[in-house]
Amino acid sequence: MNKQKIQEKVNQFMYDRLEYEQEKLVPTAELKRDLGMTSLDAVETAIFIKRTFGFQPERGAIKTLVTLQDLYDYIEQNQ
Amino acid sequence: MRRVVVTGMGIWSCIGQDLQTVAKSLKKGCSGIIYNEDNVNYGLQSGLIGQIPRPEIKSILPRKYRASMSKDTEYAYMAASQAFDQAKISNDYLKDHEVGLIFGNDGNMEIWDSIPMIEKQKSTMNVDVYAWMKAETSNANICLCNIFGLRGLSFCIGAACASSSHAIGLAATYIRANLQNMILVGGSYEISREGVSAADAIGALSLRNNDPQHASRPFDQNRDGMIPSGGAAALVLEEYEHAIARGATILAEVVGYGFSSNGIEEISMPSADGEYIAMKRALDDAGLQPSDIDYVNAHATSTITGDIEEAKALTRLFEGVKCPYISSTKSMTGHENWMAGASEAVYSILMMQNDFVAPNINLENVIDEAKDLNIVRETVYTPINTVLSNSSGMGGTNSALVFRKI
Repeated sequence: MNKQKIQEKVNQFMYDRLEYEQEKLVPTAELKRDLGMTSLDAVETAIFIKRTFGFQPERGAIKTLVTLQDLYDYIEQNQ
Repeated sequence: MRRVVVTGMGIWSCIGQDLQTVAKSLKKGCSGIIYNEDNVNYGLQSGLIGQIPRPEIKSILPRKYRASMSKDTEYAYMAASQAFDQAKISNDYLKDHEVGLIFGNDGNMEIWDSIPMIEKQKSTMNVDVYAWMKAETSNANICLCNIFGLRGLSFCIGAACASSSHAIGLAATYIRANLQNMILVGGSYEISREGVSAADAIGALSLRNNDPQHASRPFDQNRDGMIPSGGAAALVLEEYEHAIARGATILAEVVGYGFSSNGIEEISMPSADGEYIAMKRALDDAGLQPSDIDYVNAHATSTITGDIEEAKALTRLFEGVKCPYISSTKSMTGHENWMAGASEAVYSILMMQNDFVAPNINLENVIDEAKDLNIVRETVYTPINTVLSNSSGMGGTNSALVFRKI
């Protein structure tokens, strides 16, 4: 999947499923501080990645990412 | 001794989802029972349930609170919010004061949703990440502490259908002992097909599928089983001087708590002796005589054996004195299970506040064991000052509470 598609899929998931505010879904947003990502949100994000991008993130990997851009990059590099 | 009072109440039940509506339903003798064909299509013999609307929780709470809530906790949140509102407990108050939480709950079926999927996929990958929390009996405690920012003691009481009656009794004990000044108490129950299927299998549920509103008939000769129901009820219990100091309106005083276990071999068999001991102990705790009681909210669930044993216990308790008014509000609500002790406390206090006794609807021919009891068939308009609320649970646990008007 290309960069733009990854971004769209991730943002849609975060808006629909995690109910993060749409206007806050910018690449520089920090997952915890700006979006309010909890540890269970991170687990749900890992499940979403497995289903949508076909690879299983390492346990705890999502929690080490800081910004939304980090998450896009992580998916792009591992898909 | 420190006194314990009720300063707020909330209710989400099949006869109303606010105190005013519930008081009206009780006064009119309205049944909240419906026939649900889906349950029969699923394989249950009985399609009778209490009709409980699911609250529109999504418009009230953000996902961070909502995601971990089981269905019965959604009801619990609605009831708790009403109770805190009535008690005039604000978010600022909760930030500055330690408030406890004891809820009655003896299990829910949320995890069951995932089991067929795990078996099929041989993987837990797609299990709801919140299923663990939703499946916990303490889910209401987990979620309500989180939402309201409660910092006092918090645990749930599992004692089958006496769970939330014991929760009230135990909370009052903590407050009396000067360990807490305020505790939110209550109980919640979600009717699930999986949850009631075992009761259906053993023939404990009414089969009057064609006559839902007349199916729950406590103390009637033609009763044929209980009707599963649920929702949530909550009460703010508070130390008397504490309530006075903050200018709270006092709805009632919790003056007595009694308990017992049956200690008999038959696990599903209720016991007149056990219930008598719990009720007598509650009166002793309150320093009252049986003749001081104006109204008894009976546990009577419309089961064959349970109603007989309770009738025997009540006949013994009020032997030689004028029998107070007695009714089972389960004739209207069905059996609210873990929630019943708390909801029946709310129903009883509403009757005290509004000077009436709710009827034991559908009582046509009273069972022999209850013939000396003053079971109310029509609404009675009279001042009620002191109430005894009786509860029992599967396995032989009994709890009784005495409330008094102040």
